[in-house]
Amino acid sequence: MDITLSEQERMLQEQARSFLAKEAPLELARAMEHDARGYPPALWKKMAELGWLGIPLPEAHGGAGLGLLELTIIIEEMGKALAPTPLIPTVALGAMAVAEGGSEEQQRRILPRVAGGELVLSVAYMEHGRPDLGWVRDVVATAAHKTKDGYTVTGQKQFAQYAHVADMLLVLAQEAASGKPLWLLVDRNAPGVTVRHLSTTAADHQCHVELKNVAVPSQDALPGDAWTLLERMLQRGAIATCAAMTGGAQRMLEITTEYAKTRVQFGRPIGTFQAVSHRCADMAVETEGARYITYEAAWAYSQGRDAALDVSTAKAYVSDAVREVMLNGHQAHGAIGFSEEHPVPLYSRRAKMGEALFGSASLHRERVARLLGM
Amino acid sequence: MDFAWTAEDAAFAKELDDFLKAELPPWWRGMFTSGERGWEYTKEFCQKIAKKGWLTMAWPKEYGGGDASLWKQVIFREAMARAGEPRGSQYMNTNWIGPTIMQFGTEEQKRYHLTRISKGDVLWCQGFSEPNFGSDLASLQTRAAQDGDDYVINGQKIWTSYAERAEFCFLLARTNQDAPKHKGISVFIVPMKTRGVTVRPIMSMAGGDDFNEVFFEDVRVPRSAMLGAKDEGWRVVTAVLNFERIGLARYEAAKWAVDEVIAYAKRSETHGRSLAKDPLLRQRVADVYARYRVARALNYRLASLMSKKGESPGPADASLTRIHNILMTRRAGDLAMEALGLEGRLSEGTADAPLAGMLEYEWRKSISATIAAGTLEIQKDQVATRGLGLPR
Repeated sequence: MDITLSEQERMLQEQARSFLAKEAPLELARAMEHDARGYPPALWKKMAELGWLGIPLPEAHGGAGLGLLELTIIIEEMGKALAPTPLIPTVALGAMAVAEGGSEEQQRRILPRVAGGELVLSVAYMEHGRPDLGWVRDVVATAAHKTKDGYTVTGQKQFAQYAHVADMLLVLAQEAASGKPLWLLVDRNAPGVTVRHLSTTAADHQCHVELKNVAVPSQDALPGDAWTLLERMLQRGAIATCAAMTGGAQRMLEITTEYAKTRVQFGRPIGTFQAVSHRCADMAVETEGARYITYEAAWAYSQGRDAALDVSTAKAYVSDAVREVMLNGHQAHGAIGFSEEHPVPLYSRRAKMGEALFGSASLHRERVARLLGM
Repeated sequence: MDFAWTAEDAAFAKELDDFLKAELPPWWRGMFTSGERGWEYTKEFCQKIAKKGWLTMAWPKEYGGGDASLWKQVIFREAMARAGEPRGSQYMNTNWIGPTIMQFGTEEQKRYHLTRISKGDVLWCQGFSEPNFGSDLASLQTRAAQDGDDYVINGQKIWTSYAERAEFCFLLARTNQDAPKHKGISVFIVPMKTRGVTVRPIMSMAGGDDFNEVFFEDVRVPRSAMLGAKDEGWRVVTAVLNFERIGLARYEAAKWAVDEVIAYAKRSETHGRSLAKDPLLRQRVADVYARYRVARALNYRLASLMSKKGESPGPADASLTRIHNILMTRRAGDLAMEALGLEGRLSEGTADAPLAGMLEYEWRKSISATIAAGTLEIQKDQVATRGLGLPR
């Protein structure tokens, strides 16, 4: 047992910090909220050059052969900088699903291009109006009809992040004849695919994907068990979201502490008032707790252990804790924290999105209760 | 980063659990609830585990310890917390009194006291709080005046746990009236049998005789009773409080409560269905469980920082960890009372009390969690000023 960062993990963290401080200033995050693409390709390219996009991918396919834990460390820093990139859908969700459940040919075709920054992936699993799909074995309405050499797919998917710029979509469908779920690799530019960009609380480039008789060749179906791949993908999504939220909470703590030190009212820094300083202390406690419960879940997943309880425990805690951090940050800042020119709303809106992404606190608490045998 | 126990540590945890299962008598309900025979038992228990080398296993060999890793001690504390702390009040000895004597004591003090503590046959109490000075501990007024080779102590302490049974008091007294308040305090090791020491028990909300007032009237001790340098007691206190704030694996007691609540819910019914199916209770159980896991992770973080070369915890990391732990403890206490409903209000010793009133007792105890060893607010002050660098 030693839950401090190893030498290698610390180096990765330091690299991420210095790189993002230089390459991803907050103005970039702000600008990308309203950018049609939503991320700067130059930044993406540099991340590929640093090897970040291949961190958890097998060495045989251009990756570094590390695990989700190392990726989590990067994502935490990205969350702190609000670096706007499709890292989570492309690597944590999509590419890792291909690495876990794709055929040798699919891995060879996709993973090196992901690691090289040439391929952006988006995952279209959620059915319109069924946000708990996966955590509960709900209906997959998107249907894949068998044809001579593949499938035709029809359905509507919601909350596919960065689908509007993705090269390839991972689509969860149900094989019409067998009723079995199935993952398909779908070319985003294939005839019948329509992507509609959604405006969200966090301006994080979520999309609605409509598929109308989209032809998908057989070799683009993932051979792995679809429910298992989905469950594991959602676990990674929850861990990645927790990490990004923790990074955001850390920055919120820092800017709030700084403000409490410098903002003077009644002739003294407001941080001398316990009503303010105790909020900062609460923020520190909750941020540190969020960080280590996230690491524990990421570690369990990376070790190949059954991480279901760890993941739900983490998301249940982090969703609530980071909400409290953000509210305390808002309150300590007063009116200026309500101004969109200030960093506070950027972090607060992102965290509010994170609360619901990959399962809310209540959803995960229900899972925890079940996993504890209730 | 590695969250797994080594094979050796896991084997130790197993050995410990097996030992406790065989060792603890069926009537044992935890250190405060088993009455007089409970106290007698804790002494017997400590001597038994001292012989096995477990009582002070993390201490250096030269002081009767086993040079065991901090992690073994963590495993040990967790097992003790789950078992209702069968060391009784002697957890204090090994957690902070011993280590503090190791750090600040003279050779003679170390030889005598550390040997006694490691044999498991001595009880201590902590003379810190006074009627007028609790959170503002540094303003304490109990006075030790030098008289030749002796010191003469006058004053009063309060909320002194275990004072009636203790053989020694770890006492804070003012030795310099003119210095600033943090700079005039010294620590004394006072035998409780010394003439002029009187103890008056105070019933606490948790029942039993765990609280006391202690009066010092012209209590004469030799100069050699002083621990650490004269007027530099505050340094000792700071070390003590850090050991004390993280010394107990409270989170495992909360986990015990969560497990018991789940078991109770499964065998109870409400509205014609199993209580375990109640959605609101499920949410609350999971909430406390998640907070328990966070508490454990924060404690492991602290232990990792303490045991890794080149690392050390930040100045307020113990307080930060404690804040989460004590708030979680309170939630666990409330969860127990919520789940057990009216039946849960049946106290220990009452027929039909679920779990012999143990969960009701857990709630009583949980109230003190945010007060003892520095209130929640004092801990937050520590995190805000020493941890985050906010101005005072």
